[in-house]
Amino acid sequence: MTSAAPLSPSAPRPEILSEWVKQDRESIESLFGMKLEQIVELARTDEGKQRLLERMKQIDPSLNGNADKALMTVRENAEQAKKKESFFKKMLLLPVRSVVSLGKGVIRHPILTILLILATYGLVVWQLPKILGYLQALANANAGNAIGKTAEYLKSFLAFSKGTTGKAGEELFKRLPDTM
Amino acid sequence: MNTLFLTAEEQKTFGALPAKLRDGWTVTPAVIVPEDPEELIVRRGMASFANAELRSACERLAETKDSKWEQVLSSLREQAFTREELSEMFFALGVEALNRFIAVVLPSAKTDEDVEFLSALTQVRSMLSEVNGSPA
Repeated sequence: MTSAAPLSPSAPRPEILSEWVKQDRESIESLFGMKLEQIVELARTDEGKQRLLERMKQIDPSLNGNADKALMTVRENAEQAKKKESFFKKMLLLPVRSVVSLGKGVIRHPILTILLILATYGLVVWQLPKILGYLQALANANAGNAIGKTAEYLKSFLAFSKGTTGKAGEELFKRLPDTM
Repeated sequence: MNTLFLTAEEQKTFGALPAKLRDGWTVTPAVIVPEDPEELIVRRGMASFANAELRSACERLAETKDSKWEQVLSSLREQAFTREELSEMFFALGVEALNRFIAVVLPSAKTDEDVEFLSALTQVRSMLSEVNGSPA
């Protein structure tokens, strides 16, 4: 089994510029004036990256100092927007029985409900230090067991995160391209 | 779909569950493709958490003392976890979070409902891994 290394506070922070992260295909395409697929394609070659960079400098003339990080963020954002559409499309194929089972299962495991809500809605509703404190308390109360390890992982993960209050997700199902 | 997509380690844990629970389930080896930190940070920035019921539960959770955590959730309905909401949550959280959830649920499975929940979690993890492993 391949396992993702949990992010730790001492690890170097991945160089993502949050101001270049847009919620979905529509907002990315609107910003760049081109299709998402074209952005992904351009980001694959040096010549294409140069074209993207020129467009980015039109969008933000003060970009110069962070050009490489911004370009990497835009590439990652475009790729993840496509992957999100792909994942949502797969989730549409998940049998109703499984969807119901997920909802019931989460409710039957209150500690999972708390972890799931904290790691997602927590960033919308709370300040990050408070969530981290809450997760640490859960980790301490469950030290060494699977719940404690989950709380520890989510704490390390959230320490690098940024939430939004937008509505891109609920709209995404309605706008999935037919050609994926 | 009576299939569980489990890693080798998870298969051992599943094999230790009572035969009555395991009966009727097919175990398929899971292919796990986790995200890297950059991907997860971008996904968080893209996420949309706009369900009023879940937001309200989270707000009440924020005002609750230690021993009351579970009580806050008593009014939360399973219907709040819609297909859309679950998709949004799991995409933002990634494969490793699902690994951790499965590690909580699997060893404590006691009923058929628990195994169905486990199966659903492993299905979502497999779909997410498949997306992670495919070019954009």
